[in-house]
Amino acid sequence: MNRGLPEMMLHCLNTSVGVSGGAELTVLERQRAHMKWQQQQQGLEYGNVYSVLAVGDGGVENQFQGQLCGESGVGQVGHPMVKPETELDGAWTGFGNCGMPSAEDFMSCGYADDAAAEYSYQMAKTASCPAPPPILGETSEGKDSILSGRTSLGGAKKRKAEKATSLKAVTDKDTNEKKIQEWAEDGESKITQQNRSTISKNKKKGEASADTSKDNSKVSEVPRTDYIHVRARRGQATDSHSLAERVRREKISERMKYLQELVPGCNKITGKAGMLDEIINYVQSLQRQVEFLSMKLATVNPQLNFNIESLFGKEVFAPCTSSYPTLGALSEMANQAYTQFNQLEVVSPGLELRNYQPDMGLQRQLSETYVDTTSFNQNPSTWDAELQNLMAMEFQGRSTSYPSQPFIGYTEANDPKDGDLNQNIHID
Amino acid sequence: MRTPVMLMKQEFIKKWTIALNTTCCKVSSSRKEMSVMERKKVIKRTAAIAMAATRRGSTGWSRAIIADEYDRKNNKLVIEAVMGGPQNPDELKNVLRFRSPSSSIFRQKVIKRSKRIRRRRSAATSMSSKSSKTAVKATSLAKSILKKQTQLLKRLMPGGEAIDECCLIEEALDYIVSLKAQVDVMNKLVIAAEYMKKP
Repeated sequence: MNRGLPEMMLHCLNTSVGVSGGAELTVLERQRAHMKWQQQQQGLEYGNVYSVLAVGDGGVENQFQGQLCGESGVGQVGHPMVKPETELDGAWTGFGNCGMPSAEDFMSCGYADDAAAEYSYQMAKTASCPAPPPILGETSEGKDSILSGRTSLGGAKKRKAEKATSLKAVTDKDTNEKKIQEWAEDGESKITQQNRSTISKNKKKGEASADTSKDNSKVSEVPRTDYIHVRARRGQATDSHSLAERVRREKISERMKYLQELVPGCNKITGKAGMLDEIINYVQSLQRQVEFLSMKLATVNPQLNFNIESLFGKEVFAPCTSSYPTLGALSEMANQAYTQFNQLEVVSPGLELRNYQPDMGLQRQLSETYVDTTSFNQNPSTWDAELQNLMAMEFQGRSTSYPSQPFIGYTEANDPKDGDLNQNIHID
Repeated sequence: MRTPVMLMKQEFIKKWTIALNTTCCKVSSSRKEMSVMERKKVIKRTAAIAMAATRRGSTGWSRAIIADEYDRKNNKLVIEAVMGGPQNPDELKNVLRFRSPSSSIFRQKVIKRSKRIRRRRSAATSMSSKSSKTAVKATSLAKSILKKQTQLLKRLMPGGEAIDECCLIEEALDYIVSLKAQVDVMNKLVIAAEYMKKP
């Protein structure tokens, strides 16, 4: 029974990939002796085929080459992602055991309310550029998901899934030939166990491989596995539609998990309906808050051209303007920084991370000047050392923490969170 | 030392300032006084534009906001200023490329009408086969609730009508994050402004 299905899938592969790919595959199976040369050719061809299907980079081709190598049992081509198929079976369960807890750790350690916010922002921001090392695995996962979400031309995805499964089936067949005794020993339980969590495992695997391959592939940018392994459970349907549907559902539930962490009070609710309800309420409340706050701002400020500069340009520093010759220039500096930032954008519109670093540098300059200017100040009743530190750290908190003491608590309440996040998610 | 959310907030403030300044220039040239409600409207709109511009059109909702506001009169200048002015018109073009065609309202109407017809039909069939199975009924009920909620969420999100479900949740994530940042910034501004009023 186990052999019947892969053969069917192999047939499916032959028909679906096309004349060249299918023919080559059968050649592969017959002539193991001339493996090396053919592998490369085939890998390239597969790479071409799949790079049309998936949003292809070099990583895809490499992966596929690796797949084929593993399948044929040679498996010692120098790519780190390559794992012989015989190992893969064992490795999967291994990944299930070791990959999952680490991810959970990541979830549990830094995933407070704002952490999720930061992460998802990060995820969206780095979607087009290589991620910084510490958050590499997660962002690459995010990249994958985003990209596949973007390219949600249903047909393409379905075909992708189908191809992935059929390829998997081919490898299955090979392992079946080799290790049929083991299969017999462990029997059905192993299969079902394996199948139960293959999707998540494969995701973790992709994450891990992205992690490991980042080191050597900094030269060849963006190693991305953009196809998804799907395996049907025992009773499940294996046609492309239901597979694609399953993948989609999986993805949705994954997103839901992130949303759950993002929306306060959503932790205990299970079920999609309740969560959607909560999310809707939250979005509504946020929108209402925006409305309310804009109303408040409109009432507080008699004329429209209140802005940040007027807020802490004149009035806040009114008592000590004499000691602030530099502060007037500060807003100009901000403007300069902004224009510089803009120029940088023009130079490199594609790489947002590169945009960010100069921006950060400029902001740091700004905050340093702030520290300098505050050190001019000789008013200990309103300016603490603590507050100065806060200001050095929080450009943002400035607007609130400048006027007086009462806001210190507020910024402090925000601050440890930010510090944590700096440890967890950190550009630079 | 700076976290992405803080960077986002800073960028938001910058863009908001630019947007407000440009609107101020325009308003002061045309008219003298604005009522509170008008001011509120302008503030809210500029904040939304700034927030959308902060995301640089990387997400559907931001593109939708910018495209919507761009179609409205008097707003072109603001958006052009916020999106980087004359230095990079490419970005704006890139965003506006995704603009939904003007027939989208018409399309929505057609969809609504067809839905109404379908509902009527399904109601008729369900009346006839009412006594069939309760289990089927329960699942269909749950499905309809889910569908309704998804539609509600779609209506809440700017430009949400055009997104499919999988992307919708992603967009909702992004939207929530940016709304949170916006609320945070505005809150701080309100606190600062109120404090300044007091003495």
